[in-house]
Amino acid sequence: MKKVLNASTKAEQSAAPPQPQTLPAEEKKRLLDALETARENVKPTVKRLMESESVSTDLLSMRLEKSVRDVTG
Amino acid sequence: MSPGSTEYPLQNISVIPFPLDFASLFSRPSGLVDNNWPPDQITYLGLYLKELGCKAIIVESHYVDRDYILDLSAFYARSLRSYPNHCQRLHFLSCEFSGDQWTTLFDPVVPEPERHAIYNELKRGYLGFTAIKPLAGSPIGRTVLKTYSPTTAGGSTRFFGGIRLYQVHLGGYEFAVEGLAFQQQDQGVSACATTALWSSLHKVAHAERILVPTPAQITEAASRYLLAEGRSFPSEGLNIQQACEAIRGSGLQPLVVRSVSTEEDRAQIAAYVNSGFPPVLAIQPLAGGPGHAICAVGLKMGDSDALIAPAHHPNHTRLAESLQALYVHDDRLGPYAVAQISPWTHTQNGQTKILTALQIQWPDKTQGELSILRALIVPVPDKIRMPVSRMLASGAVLAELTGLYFTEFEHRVILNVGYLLGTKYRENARDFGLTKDGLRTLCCNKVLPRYVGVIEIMAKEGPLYDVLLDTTETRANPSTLLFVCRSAFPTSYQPALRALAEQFGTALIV
Repeated sequence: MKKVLNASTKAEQSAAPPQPQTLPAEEKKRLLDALETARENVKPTVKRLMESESVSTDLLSMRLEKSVRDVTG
Repeated sequence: MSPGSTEYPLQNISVIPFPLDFASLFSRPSGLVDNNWPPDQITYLGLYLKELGCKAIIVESHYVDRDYILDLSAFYARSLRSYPNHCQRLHFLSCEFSGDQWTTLFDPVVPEPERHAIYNELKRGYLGFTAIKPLAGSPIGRTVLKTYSPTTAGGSTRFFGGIRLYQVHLGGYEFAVEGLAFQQQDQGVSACATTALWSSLHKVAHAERILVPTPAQITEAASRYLLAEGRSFPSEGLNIQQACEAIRGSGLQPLVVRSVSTEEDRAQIAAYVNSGFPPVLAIQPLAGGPGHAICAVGLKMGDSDALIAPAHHPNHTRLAESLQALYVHDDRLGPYAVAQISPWTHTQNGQTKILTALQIQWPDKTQGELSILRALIVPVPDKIRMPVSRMLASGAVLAELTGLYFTEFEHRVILNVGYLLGTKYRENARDFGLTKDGLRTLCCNKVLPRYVGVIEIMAKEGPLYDVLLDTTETRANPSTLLFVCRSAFPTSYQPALRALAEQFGTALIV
């Protein structure tokens, strides 16, 4: 069974399509620079998202017990 | 000498027209009542059914409801009053229907095609049901109703990610309704947190093939190891920690998300609702007093074409920014109540903060109390370890980069994230415009977890690419499974996207 599986994998490899076009070096550098800028731009957003994961004991103790409506308007 | 009857009960099914005053179907309890009669839940239900176009009601006189009978055995069975062990069930129809037509369904003299036509009409007009509990102050038991239509009169779009299909049997016929179960808190075995959690579990536990716990079982599980104060029954409410314990007790895992800003809250609520994990929202009335819990079932979305990228990340915005309102199950009111979501400037001790406010619309149009969102409590399957916040964080980098590098999409990239079953993603991929090799690789040669995290990068012309994450890991960045090219992504940009995928340690499927 193992042999059959290996053979099948090799057959698929030999029929693999040609390597796709790669990105020129200077374009790759521009992409990596843009990635850095993007990371900088979203830092405050990421910080807030990480803050949403930190849950205090006070919050965990919050009672959820409201039973009737308070009409305020 | 026997203290009571042991005769088997008889069933009676009757048909009545939808009354002008829905509350007239309920008898006012005798003695003193704390609140006005009829309670808000009955008034709301009548108005909601009117909105759905209800024309007739089939009344089932004796219905054994699993939730009620287990709650009865846990609490009411030991009361001095002898509470019946059954409910009544009302089935709502949007078509005119009479008792004679109902009888026709069981008349062998009437030709089968004629009976079948009546059945089909009933199926088409079936709006859902409500179990009426024999509890004077809180009669609204398990209620599943159709949602509002997918679009509003004002052109907004409604998405109900928190609903599922319920099959209903009546007189040997099967009906179906898509919705999410709602019930009123009884303050015996359940308070608001219990019923909100119960609604959420009706979706998540059911999808995971777990038996949905009843309100009494939820309250018991919540207070098994942690009884913050008082007794478990009669229930006086839960705290967030107890709600988490109840979720763990049901075989799922709780995710607690602290409210940090309206932008982040919108994105997280939308992602969990759209993924089929209705979050329980812990809210605090602005006027003070105890907190409250509601279950978010659906979203009201505005026009995504009108979205503008904010100054702090100028190249992209989130689809969730078009979230205008939530459809919530509020046990003080009813199913699919509209809750407007907006930022709220709050000043305390000289410090100003922007908080997320929810304002629930009441049927009598009095202005509902303004509440502040404090947290989301989301029951998720055990194997989902990556929270939405991590997907959003990774997605923010990718969306911003897409607007920066692919200048064609500058300032107008839209980010959306969510969980999706791996099998469902593969099924959807048939419409992505992938090559034969690409589709075969995605569908046959890649191993996906049960739930994939999907970061969807879009522009106004359509989806550009997806990034699939392994949600069984905790961090999004080293857990990227694949980049998948979508139909609106220009072919000439593929080498750059491939290089980006390599940066994330994975491959691009085109």
